[in-house]
Amino acid sequence: MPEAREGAAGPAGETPGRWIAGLDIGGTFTDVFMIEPATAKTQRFKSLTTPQDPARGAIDALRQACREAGAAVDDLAIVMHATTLVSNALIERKGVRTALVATAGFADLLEIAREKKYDIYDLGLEKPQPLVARDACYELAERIDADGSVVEPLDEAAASALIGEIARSGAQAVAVCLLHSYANPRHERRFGELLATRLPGVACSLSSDVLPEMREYERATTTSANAYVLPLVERYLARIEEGLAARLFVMLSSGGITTPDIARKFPVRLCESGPAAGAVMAAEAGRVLAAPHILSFDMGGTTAKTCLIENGSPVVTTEFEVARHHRFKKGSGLPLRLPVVDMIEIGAGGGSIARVDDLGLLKVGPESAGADPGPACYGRGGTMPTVTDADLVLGYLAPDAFLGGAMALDGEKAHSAIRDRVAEPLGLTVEAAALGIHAVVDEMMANAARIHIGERGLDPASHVLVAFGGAGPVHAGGVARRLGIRSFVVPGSAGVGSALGLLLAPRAYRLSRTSIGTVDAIDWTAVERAFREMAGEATEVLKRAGVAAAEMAFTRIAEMRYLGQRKELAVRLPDGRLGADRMDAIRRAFEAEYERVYRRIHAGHPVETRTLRLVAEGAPVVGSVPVPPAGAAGARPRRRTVWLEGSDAPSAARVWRCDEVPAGRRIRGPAIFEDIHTTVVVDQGSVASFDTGRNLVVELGGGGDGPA
Amino acid sequence: MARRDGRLDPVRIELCWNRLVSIASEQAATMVNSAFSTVLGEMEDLSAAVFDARGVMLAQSVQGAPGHLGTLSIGMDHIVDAVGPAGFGAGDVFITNDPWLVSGHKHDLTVVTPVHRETDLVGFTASNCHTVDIGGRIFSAAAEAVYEEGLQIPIMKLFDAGEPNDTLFRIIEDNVRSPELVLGDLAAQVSANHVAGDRLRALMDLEDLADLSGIADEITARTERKMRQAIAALPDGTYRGRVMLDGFGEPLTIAVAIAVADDEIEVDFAGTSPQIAKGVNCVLNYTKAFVFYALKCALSPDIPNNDGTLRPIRVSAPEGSILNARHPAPVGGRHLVGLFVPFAIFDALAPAIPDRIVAESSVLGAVTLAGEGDDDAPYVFTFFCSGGMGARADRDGLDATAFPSNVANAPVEVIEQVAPIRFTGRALIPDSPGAGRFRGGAGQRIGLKLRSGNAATVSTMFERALFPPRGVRGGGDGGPTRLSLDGRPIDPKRGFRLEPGSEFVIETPGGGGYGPAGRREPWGADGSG
Repeated sequence: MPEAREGAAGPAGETPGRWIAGLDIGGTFTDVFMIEPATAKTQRFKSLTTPQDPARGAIDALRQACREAGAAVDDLAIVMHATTLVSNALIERKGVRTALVATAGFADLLEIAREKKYDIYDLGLEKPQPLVARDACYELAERIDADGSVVEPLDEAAASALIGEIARSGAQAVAVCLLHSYANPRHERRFGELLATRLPGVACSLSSDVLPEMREYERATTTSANAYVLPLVERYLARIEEGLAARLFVMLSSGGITTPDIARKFPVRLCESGPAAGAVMAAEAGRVLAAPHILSFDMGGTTAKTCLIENGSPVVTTEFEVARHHRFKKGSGLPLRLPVVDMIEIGAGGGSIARVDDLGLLKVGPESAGADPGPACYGRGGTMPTVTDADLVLGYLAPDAFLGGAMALDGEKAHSAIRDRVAEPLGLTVEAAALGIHAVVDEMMANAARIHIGERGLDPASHVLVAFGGAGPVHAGGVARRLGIRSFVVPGSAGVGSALGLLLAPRAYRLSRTSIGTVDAIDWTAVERAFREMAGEATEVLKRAGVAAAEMAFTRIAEMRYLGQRKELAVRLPDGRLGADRMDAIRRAFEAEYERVYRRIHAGHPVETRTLRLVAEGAPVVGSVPVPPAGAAGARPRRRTVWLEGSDAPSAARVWRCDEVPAGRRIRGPAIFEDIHTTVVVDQGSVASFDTGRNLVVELGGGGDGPA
Repeated sequence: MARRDGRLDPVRIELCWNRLVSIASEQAATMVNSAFSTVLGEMEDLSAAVFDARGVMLAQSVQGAPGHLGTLSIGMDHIVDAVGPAGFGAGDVFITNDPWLVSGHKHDLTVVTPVHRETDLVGFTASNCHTVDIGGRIFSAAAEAVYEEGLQIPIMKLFDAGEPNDTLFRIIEDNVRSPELVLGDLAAQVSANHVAGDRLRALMDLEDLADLSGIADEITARTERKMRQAIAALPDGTYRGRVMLDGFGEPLTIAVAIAVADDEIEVDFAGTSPQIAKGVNCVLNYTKAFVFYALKCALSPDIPNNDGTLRPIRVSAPEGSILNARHPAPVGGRHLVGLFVPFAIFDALAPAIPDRIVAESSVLGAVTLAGEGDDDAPYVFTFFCSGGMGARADRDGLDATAFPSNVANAPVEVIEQVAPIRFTGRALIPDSPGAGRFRGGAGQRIGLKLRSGNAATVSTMFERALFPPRGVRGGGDGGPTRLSLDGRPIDPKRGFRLEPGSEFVIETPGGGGYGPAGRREPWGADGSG
């Protein structure tokens, strides 16, 4: 499966003769993408993830990738790493025994949560279990007021007794979340000092460090999640560093790269490390194509993920949920507040099962056949028809070319599964039923994306869709048409997308603080001071990551709203020193953003800032990735019968291998492009061509598309 | 997309239905995100829906309040009848808040936007939102007639062919306490309807639909069939239930008889208390909404709601009762009664479908504080708090989660930022859950003091002090609502004056238990707490 590629472009390497690797450990696969800047050599490697010992799996994958490249692990200068360790630990509840310390009277804050049900009709509703058991939640005598003043000093004797109790409980980690600590962290810090002195072996996370923002429940869940995974991440990173001479960087959920010391302190920020790297890869494709608006579309075996990339950067949010009780129901998980690529996930992948429900309608997913038994066509005993089975019946997938021919697909089994479970119950032909499955799954994804884009005041039609993941490029055309999008792109390295993204991610650090006040009343000098303090802290972090001070870029964002509104908008503040004299410019910046999203403003209504955010970024470690070789000229396509949406008769599609098509050649649909990792479907009327970076660009033609 | 000559095969029906539900949900999300008030923004006391040109409801937003289920659909029928098909012009927007036409109190503003494609009327988008103020008395149950409860807007044009009705806007502006919030929320409703209208037209273009009625008939017929199947599975017969409320000085009764015959249900509330001179009376629409809600939870929770759900169900209540109030009965705080309707339904159906009901639960309580801070600036702040949900047939009730209401609490840190109070604690009450094979959820104890040196006026709206949530099938009752001031009990529905230094404590009820407790350990002792 691995293949070496040589390219002509010479990237800006900083350590000649040595390799830089992106290592993405996902739930199923471990991907490595390596480049040697001095020679412009690249290497891809893919293996199954070994969940039993992830640190060892990481080193093994790097070792094997190096071997394929004719290098040794010691030849690695830099390793950039994305991992599912944190999300797995949170989902599977495999963190350490954790205690929570709260202000006296409020130890039930995790149990009380927010009192809201995520589904009003489901009488059997369950809420997510807190990460800390009720009997491990302790009360500390102290109280700080909303303005940060101390109402009741920390009772040191009580704190000391409490630490004794925590020691006897056997907790390995402690989360401290005291009321209003975002306004005054003194009590949390003091308790942290006492704890570190008395119990140096116990990990401690303070909410005023992890998330210095108002709203005690969300701050407590985030802080307890941080403490819960901290010892695991600490051990894991230490073991990887022991086994590597290379410098290690880690991918954050926000799409930025950081040093292991930050990852150890705030491990919860690694939660969406892998998907974030995929978003960075899609952003890079957008940069190459000079497309300012990208819809990233990653469809795998069980789910599809999409996110927006605006002007080169993935859109980042701070509201996030992990370990949902109902995987795709908003509100059923543990809320975490951390900078994270704003990604929606829906239960539609190649393995999603199609069925006729008791209303006589066709449904697809979220149940998945998974990898075992998998789709009916895998021939491993699966009898339920899946999206992959439909794609096979429609001729999009070849029985003998799946995963580069490594796995034969059984067309008969796919056909009979669709016939028995979908076509006959609905009175359709098998091909019409398969087209139906395809259309339903495309519409589900388009629908989710449409809402996601609409909520941000953007127009789907102005975006370019970047498709990757095993099933993404098969469905990209259908999803794009349903959104009114006119072109889609399959990046050259779609199969190892996240690992490639790791190499291209900026070294970055984000900080936030609560700062509440209306634009005309808040103390802007204090806001300016807060931003300077945050910038000072970020500068230190980026310096340690090897970014020169001159190369750092700082973006100052205020989350603002009209006074009384629930939802804030992230507003980029004007450059230059902030002060009372800048009030009009700040208000205008808010109103411009508000008008963009809601198409109107409320002139004269007071505007309030709620949270200050600083984004500090340095350049990526790797400037660009070498271009893989162009296809050999003169190759001839094969032909295959395909069924396309909008047509009742089959068409003859030309089938190409991706690596045999030279750059610039324009190929009209219907056509299929096959690669080891994926298949691209180009329908009637659309035109496909490879650019010099081996990205396959498909311009959708007339044939049945409509506005979104 | 396949052109199939407008033929609606099961694939296209699925594609359209899925899209219609999303359109209604996007409509609601647009309102919530651009709302100005916490009522809309945090509590999501709203509903949004899309209709065909006849006024048949195709889909309703996933988010929203149970009390709105179906009221928008009934309201749309009234509006279509009153205006007539020729009366809906392009660019028009209609509004009303007549309690008897839609959802039962004047605080709910209903906004209906006809959707045109070229010159044809193809459908409607509509929403119903609780506004922060509508004039009259402050939102409460204190009025003795509906006239005291603020401005009433008959069915009128808010926009006429795209032009705002300035007269009506000025009247609203001059009659409400916080016009910028009221008009801001109203603007959110209007633009959400527009967004949904655009989406409906795009769907019709994409799927090549000449009108929405064909798809409406398919969706509602399938939903109705499913609902009828669920009803047919119930043994025929008449089931009777009853629930008692604290009321005002005198308890109130909700009595229900549910007649199941073949695949239809008739729900009648004969025996229910007469309407009272306090603003807790429900119009019949609102009563119906909670009947539909309870039956949908029990019989068909998975299917997106539309008019098909409602067709096999008939609801009646004696005219002049608290569930079918006669004009001009006061109706402002009608949820205080309406929230109990599902318990009466479940009480009746317990013998027929014991595994698809919940034991009685805490309903939402509300506390409003008003006074002056240390800087003498006036403040008014309302917060809500929940007790425990009743136990289910196969699991414990949820702690600190009300049913059927569904409102998020405000964080302690947020309340302390905006109101001069300091909470002394917020904790679950270990002995509040009703005992049972499955226990009720725990209520909570919330204590607070003033931070300001000035006294405050406090008004409270709590039920369940005299009649705590009952257990079912041998389960125990939950603990009652208790309010106290410096340890002395106080009336849960009467206001009081809170002096600096005094501590006000609220104890919310625990949920009822399900089945006999047997030897089960107390709450918290077996790790279930």
